[in-house]
Amino acid sequence: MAASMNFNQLVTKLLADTRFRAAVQKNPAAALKKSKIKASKAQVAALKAVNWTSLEKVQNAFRAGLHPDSFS
Amino acid sequence: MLHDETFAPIVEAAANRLTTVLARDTPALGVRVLPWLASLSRTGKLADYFLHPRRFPMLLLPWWAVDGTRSREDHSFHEDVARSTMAGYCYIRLLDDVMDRRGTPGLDLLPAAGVFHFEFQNAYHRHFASDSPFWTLFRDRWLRAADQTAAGSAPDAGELDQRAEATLGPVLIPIAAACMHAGVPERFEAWRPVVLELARLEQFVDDVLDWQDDAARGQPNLVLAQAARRMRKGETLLTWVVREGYAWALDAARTRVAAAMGSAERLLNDGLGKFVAARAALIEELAADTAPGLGQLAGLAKVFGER
Repeated sequence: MAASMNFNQLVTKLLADTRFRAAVQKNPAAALKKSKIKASKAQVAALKAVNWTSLEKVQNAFRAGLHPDSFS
Repeated sequence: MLHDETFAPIVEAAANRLTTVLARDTPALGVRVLPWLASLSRTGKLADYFLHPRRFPMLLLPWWAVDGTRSREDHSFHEDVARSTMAGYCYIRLLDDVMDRRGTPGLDLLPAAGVFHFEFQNAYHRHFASDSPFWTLFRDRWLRAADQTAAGSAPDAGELDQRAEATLGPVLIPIAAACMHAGVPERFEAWRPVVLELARLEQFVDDVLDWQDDAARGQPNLVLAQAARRMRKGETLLTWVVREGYAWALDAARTRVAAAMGSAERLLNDGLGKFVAARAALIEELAADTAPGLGQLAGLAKVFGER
């Protein structure tokens, strides 16, 4: 049975789960349905309007590290 | 690029001497530790690791501190200083990586710590007599840094700042050496608070850029310390960072950059000013890169009912 998703869960999945993010980017309604997540029309519309490049920049910044030349 | 053309060959010579000692005098150890040193930089060259423009300028600080003095003509001395600093850094980095189980070094590399420590200290023996005040500072800063590595977990923000100062405190050693060697010990007194301010800034920027990794590894971090105080009930760390944490971190970084910039300007040192300006630019680059995405997430928070 599908359950609704709160913002905590959405942010975690969008930023940490690259497969989920890719699926939502392609087709939000289908991706949410596949993950058994209940979403309103407004929520699906909001996801359709997302600029995914900007979200990836956020995720990249969160794990950037100060010294990109080193491997650690 | 923060360094001048004169300084790069000094660093390259220092790196060559350090790696030569490992290969020639400790060949069994060298076989193991040299690949680890090479892995620190994508070019495989130890000098490149230390001269990378995003690196804390630990080798450049003593060079900058004696700008305008005849000490700069003594390349042999500055090569010793650079070799000592590299060896001291490698000693700390090796222990940190092994303790944190991070990167490539295994326990079989630990004997290299003895070589690094010897090179770190030995480089100064021919320049400073055993009763020189230099050794008092050397002992104080080195022991304080060693003690911090064993400090307890879950410190608050104030303790973390003190830790940053203690952990990066050994960078004062080569600056003191250079100022004393140049006959301008008063410069060291002027540089000391500025360098410690830079150390605190560096730790903060590192924490802003590494908070996810530190959270995953359970490492103390100033952003995570703020999160522990500010997160709402039921809120995740990631949601807090998106809601307000990242904006707080960037603003706090700007405040620290401004303080460091003021201190650097008082020293009238071009290199120092460029370094702080580069850190300021990095913060603004992060702000510009993340603003659109964080704005979109704020919009999603409204639609999905932020908790």
